[in-house]
Amino acid sequence: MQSMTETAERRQTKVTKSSLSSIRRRENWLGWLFAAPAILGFIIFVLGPMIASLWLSLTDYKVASTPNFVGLDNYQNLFNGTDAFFYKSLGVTLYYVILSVPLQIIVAFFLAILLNQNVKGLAFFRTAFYLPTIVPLIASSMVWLWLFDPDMGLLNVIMRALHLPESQWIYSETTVVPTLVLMSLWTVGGTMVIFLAGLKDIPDHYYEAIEIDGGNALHKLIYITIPLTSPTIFFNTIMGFIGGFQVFVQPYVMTQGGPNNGSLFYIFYLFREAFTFSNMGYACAIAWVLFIVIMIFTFLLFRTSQKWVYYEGEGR
Amino acid sequence: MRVKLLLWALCSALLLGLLSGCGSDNGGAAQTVDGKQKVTLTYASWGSPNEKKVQEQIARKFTEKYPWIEVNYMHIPGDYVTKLTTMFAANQAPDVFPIYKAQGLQWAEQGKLYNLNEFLKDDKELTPDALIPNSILYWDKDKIAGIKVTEEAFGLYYNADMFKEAGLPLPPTKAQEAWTWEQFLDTAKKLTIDNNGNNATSPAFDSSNVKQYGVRFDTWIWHLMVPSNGASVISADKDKLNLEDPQVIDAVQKMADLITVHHVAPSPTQSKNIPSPAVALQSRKVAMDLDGQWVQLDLGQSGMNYGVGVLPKLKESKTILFGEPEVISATTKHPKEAWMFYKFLLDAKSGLEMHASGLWMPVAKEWYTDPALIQQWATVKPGHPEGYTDAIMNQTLKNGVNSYDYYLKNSEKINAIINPALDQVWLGKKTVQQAFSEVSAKANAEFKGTYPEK
Amino acid sequence: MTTRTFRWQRVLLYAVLILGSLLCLFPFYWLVRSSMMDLAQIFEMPPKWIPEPFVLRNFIEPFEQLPFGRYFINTLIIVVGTLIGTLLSSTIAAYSFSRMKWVGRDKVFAVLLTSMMLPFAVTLIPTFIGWQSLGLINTYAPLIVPAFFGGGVFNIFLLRQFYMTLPRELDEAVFVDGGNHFTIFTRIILPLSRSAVLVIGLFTFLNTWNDFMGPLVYLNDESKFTLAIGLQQFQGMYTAQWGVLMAASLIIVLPAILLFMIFQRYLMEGIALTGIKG
Repeated sequence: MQSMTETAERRQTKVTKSSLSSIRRRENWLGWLFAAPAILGFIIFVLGPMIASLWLSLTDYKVASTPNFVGLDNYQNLFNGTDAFFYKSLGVTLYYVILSVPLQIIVAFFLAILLNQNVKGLAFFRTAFYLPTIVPLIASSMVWLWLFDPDMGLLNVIMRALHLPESQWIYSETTVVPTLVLMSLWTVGGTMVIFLAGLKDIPDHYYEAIEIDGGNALHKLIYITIPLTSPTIFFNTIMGFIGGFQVFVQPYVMTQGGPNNGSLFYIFYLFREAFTFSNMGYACAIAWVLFIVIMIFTFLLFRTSQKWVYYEGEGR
Repeated sequence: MRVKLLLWALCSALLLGLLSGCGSDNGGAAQTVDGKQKVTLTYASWGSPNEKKVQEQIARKFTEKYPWIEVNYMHIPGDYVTKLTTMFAANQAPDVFPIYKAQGLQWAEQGKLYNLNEFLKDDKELTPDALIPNSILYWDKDKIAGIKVTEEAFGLYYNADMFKEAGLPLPPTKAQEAWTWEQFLDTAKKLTIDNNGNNATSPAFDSSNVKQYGVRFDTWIWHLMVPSNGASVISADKDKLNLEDPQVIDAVQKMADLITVHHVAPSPTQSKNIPSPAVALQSRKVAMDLDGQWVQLDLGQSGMNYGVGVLPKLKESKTILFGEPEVISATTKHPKEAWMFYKFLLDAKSGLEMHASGLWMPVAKEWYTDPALIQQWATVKPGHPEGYTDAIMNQTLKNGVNSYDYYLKNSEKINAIINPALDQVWLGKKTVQQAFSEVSAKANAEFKGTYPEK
Repeated sequence: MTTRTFRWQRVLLYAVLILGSLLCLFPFYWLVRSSMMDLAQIFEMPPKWIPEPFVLRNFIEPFEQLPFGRYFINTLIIVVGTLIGTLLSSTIAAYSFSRMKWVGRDKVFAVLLTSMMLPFAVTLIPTFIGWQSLGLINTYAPLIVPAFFGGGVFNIFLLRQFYMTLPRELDEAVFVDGGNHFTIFTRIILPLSRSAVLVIGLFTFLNTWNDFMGPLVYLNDESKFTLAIGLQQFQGMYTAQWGVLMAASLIIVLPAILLFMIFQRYLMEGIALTGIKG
């Protein structure tokens, strides 16, 4: 590490000030050029539909009928409690996000570290841990429905054998969200793979340095692994939040929002308004509220990131 | 190196695919067939691969009959409403398609569907009298959103071998002989057996270790017995929901008691593990199944010895009807041709093999009354068990009542309020009366009136 | 650290790995098991662990009922197209957002990030109408073309995170030697972030391979359908042929599993920075 900075520094002195600033100037438009496809893509494929949905959120659009402008009526209906499902679904979703995101990050990180060790059969273990992410939900939901069965399900059979209290799992209003969180831990494979890629980029000699200083595994974790993977931790956290707020398929397939709206996830509620009740204008308003919520969360995370995310290339 | 090879293989596959994909497109210039302007209709539907094949056949047969009308069949295997909604929004709706009743009525109200009465009132071939009762869906007075493309009716399906082994009489098939609720419950108890071999009539019966249940039903059909109790979910004056009517509450509570008091039916939780009712009957998890006639397809294919009886009765013998309507979109460019195809679809002859399989039921009355026609579907085995003609076919014609959602405006939203409340009933945490009185006001706030019966 | 505690740690490590992989393999095992059973066996309680008899017909039926070969080629076209587009455009965009300094860079990036925050349910219809006005409904264009324009913010963001961890001195060294941004991108950044690029390739493959909603909404002709749509057909309106459904799922999921097994080896190789230090 040290030798690298040294060489670079030596070389840098050779570069004159003026040539550097011309590079900077060129970089300004080159940067836009490199980013142009992505920016164009955003303007063409995303911005239009976004503006359209924002406008529709101010109408009573029912699909195929002409939308009438209703001002902020849709938003008012949401916040003044006329629609009992709104706060319920927001609560359910927040509960899920706050419970699931930290757990998923920790479990995925832990698994990635395990699978980054030098063990026999690594290929097998990695594939095994990633498998639940690939198996179609239709197949895995069948297993889950059986596991969670309060009478005959494997989980309660185990609980009984261990003399632990049994649970109603997804069949009770109070346990359905924690159970879905537990279920989501099976599919952290994607997050785990991103961590694995991050871990791979940590040079071995960092760890060697700690070993020379007499540090143990915990020291390595705290002083090397976590700081150096903080960009991936940050990425996974942001994505966890964005994805968590928009969780849809699992509750849709497993619980249909029940029991007693205990798993009425926000997107499930939104989808129902949009396509079952054909209240597209109203659904757009629901979507924009979520948009704002997610944006605030993301913004706050970006703000804190300056304190704990370490980019080697930033040279801060 | 290997990666490069793989890439090459993928790229050439891509090219091949693109080429073969382009070849299939042909220019659609205006053509004439038999001196008539060529017309192309789009017909969309849901359904399994088997149903899809029959639908394609129907489209083909139609073009054989009317060579100047081509029918493009579009199969939508999932997220049906999402796809249709999107197509509607883009003014690309198919000309003819089936739709769920609540959506169909709602869409008709919003002007998305053709008023079929404009065709029906002058049509010589198809008249309302030729159809079975309850088959036309009105969204307003004299305004027809759709006609059921197949009827669906509820009956009491059972595993005949289990009755024989228990030495119990089979469920009656004629309306006038229908079991009372007590007779039904008693039979269900005798057919509910715990792990020690005790049935539910025995004092030693262990309700937490049940090996075989007497009966099963899906909780979405909670209102199954309401018509039989002489009541309706919608008030007689059509001005509110009848959630506080003792007759309604009693009829729903009787269903709930099967699960929570008598333990003769699996809870929704327990039945989630047996997603297919046919499997439940065949594997002897349950002896009886309160279900729609569509289960016959699976029951027939399973090769088991099954039968059907009329539903038990509370005050009078009734069955609930559920058929989904076929509709024509308001944006169709060829209404006349769409109606011709529509009639062709409604004709049971067109998709006879689905009717014979037990999945579909005709909507033209003659198929229920003319013995020569009846034997082409209602007695064809294995999709139709012994007793079908009485228990389902005649019962549909004589004692069929449409499910309340054919008449209730905003029913999807109202159901979204009622169903969560009922969740607690099936878990035994609340009585129907408690659950309904809690949500009655909320549900009634969403009450937006009713659709007329004609 | 004594060898005894070391060995103890190894045992614990293997125990956790074995236990964990058993838990993870379970749903897959269930899929395999159910794919070889008839309807009654699948839902038997207590469950049967081994099919008896083995119903191998389930694997023939999907091919008889649906044009699986056609679906396979269609899926491949979309997957390969999307993969090429995504890999090309997301790596370039991420480079710009992490290694180049330009006015408004981070603000533009923040705006791009918002494209993931609005649920698809409300953008579906406007997007569809957009493609319709271009006359591209019932073609693969709506499914492939967006990949060439950025390839998804998720991917750009992920790559950006990786690019930002690479020491900046590397770039400056290239400039000194007369190189430009293109040389840095192809010679330094891409090779050094191979594992991240592989991850993106894997995710793009899997997402496209399993995507149901996109093809369902944009494609009308059955001859253009994909495997994921084919799979859905076995779940009928009234009945589901569970055994066949499971067999079909297995057929569709196998290529993805094989791909991952090959892929993870390359991920493991990951390039250590030490290699290019000198």
